[in-house]
Amino acid sequence: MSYVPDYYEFFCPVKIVSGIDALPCLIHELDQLGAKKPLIVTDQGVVGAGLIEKVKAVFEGTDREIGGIYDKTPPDSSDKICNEVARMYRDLGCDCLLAVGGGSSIDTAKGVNIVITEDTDDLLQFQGAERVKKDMEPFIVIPTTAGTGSEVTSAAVIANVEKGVKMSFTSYKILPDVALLDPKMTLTMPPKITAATGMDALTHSIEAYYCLQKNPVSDSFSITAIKLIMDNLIKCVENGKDAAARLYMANAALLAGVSFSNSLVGVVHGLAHAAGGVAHVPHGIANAIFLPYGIEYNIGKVGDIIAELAPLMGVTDSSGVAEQDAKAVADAVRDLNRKLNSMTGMPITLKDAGVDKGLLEKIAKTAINDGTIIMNPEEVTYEDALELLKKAY
Amino acid sequence: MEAKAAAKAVYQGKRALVSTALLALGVAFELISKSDPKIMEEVSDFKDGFVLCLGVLPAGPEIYVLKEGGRLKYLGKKERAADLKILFKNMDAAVKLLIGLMPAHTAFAQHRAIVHGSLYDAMQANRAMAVVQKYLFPSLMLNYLFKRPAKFTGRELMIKAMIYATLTPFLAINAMK
Repeated sequence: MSYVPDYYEFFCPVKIVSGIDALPCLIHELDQLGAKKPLIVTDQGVVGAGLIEKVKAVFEGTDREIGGIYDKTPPDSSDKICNEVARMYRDLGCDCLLAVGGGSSIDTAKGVNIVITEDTDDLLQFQGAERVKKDMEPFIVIPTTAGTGSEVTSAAVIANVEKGVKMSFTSYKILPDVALLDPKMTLTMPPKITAATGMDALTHSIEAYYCLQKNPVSDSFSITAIKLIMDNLIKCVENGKDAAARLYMANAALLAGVSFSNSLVGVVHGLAHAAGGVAHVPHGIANAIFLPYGIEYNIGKVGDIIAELAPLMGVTDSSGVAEQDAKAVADAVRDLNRKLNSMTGMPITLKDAGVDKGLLEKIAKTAINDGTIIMNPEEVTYEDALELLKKAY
Repeated sequence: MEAKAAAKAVYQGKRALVSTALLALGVAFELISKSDPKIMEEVSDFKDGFVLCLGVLPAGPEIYVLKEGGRLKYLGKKERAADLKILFKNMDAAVKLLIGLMPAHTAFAQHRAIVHGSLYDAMQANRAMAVVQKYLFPSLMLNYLFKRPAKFTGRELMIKAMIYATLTPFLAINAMK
């Protein structure tokens, strides 16, 4: 069914540099941005995997230099860390941010860019939508996972340590200038993380396709992302050194990121954010667990739209009835989850993920206050969220 | 010149309409918080002294609602600090939402309304606003405005009748705030 909403907006100005040996293009991209001395924002896992050494090697024999490396980014970044990194950036005379890592390093760099550009140490005042007005410092991202899509999203989530809250920032200004995808930066990702981050990307693309902000441009990104994921995720898990499959998955995550940055997501992400905040379930795993339930939950409202995804999800024999085809999409996600579970041990229930059943009520209460809930086609009350959590347990 | 004057008059008319609708919303927040505990449940995480602003970009009008002593209180239209702002990007968007021509979720989905502050707080404010809409708008309109049809208990129908009966005098009392 063709669908163009009465009104929509779409924005993605990020230059994409993708391919085998894309990494050496970094120097040229810095030149294009007028930058010579980047500060690298990364984490210990990325350093331990030897990926920063690969970035350093690119600078050999050039007149460019790495201004500094912040390698202590935790899984959940905070305003204090952003302020610390911004101080480092100023003290070292850097002129560009280079995030090398997953969602947390990229979000931290986005927060640092706000701190530097707005000359503030109080990120709280920029919380919300479209509050950043100034043009940012040059910003390049090299993702080392294929899932978050944060390299092309206009959002960042950063904790406020003092107030104990997670702050969301949405602004077209915080988008990176360049996303550089090189499969050599994801080859070392372990199978379980490959599976979970891949399911994160699949969730982005599927939810973006059926949630309320969907539009024809985001739809096209979602469709391509789903195809790439269904063709390559298992290959990457089976053989992490398959550079071609890794490149496809890196592109899938990016495309899904473009899609959901412009179309947003729904109850699956609402529950996953809450399960992450309350019970520390990794985001990709939580998305994988909730995705089939979230799809089924919305069939009554957008079953015809979900059914369009059936062929992409490997459903070969369409029933011709939208509701049944939409249910088959949910079942296809369950099949994929089971396969990934048997290959990597990725949990596919909340119980397997180590969630205490006593936390379900708290997760439900948190979930209904997640900003994604408003974009879900079906209403989500506390009772609805709790019921979904019980099913996923 | 005539076209320009007409456009200005239309804009002023929309502004007056939005101003009145926002006043009604603000007053209704206060009235309903005295009658239906549901609205206070929705904003239970707001601390005492929390100020919510609903307004229109770039230059108003806007209203302020305070949570204090387990109630919501309409503060008026004068600019003041707010913990959370829900802002319509322009007057047309505000008209559509405030007179019930557009659901709140559509306004957000179409980028016609934005949040300054915590999204977590905004979701609670949005549900509180839905409680207010439930009492202000006729039941038939609610089927369009809400994702799920609204249901009324006998007590809620009585509150709705009370709101309809008392809103106008309260508007008059609060109009100059």
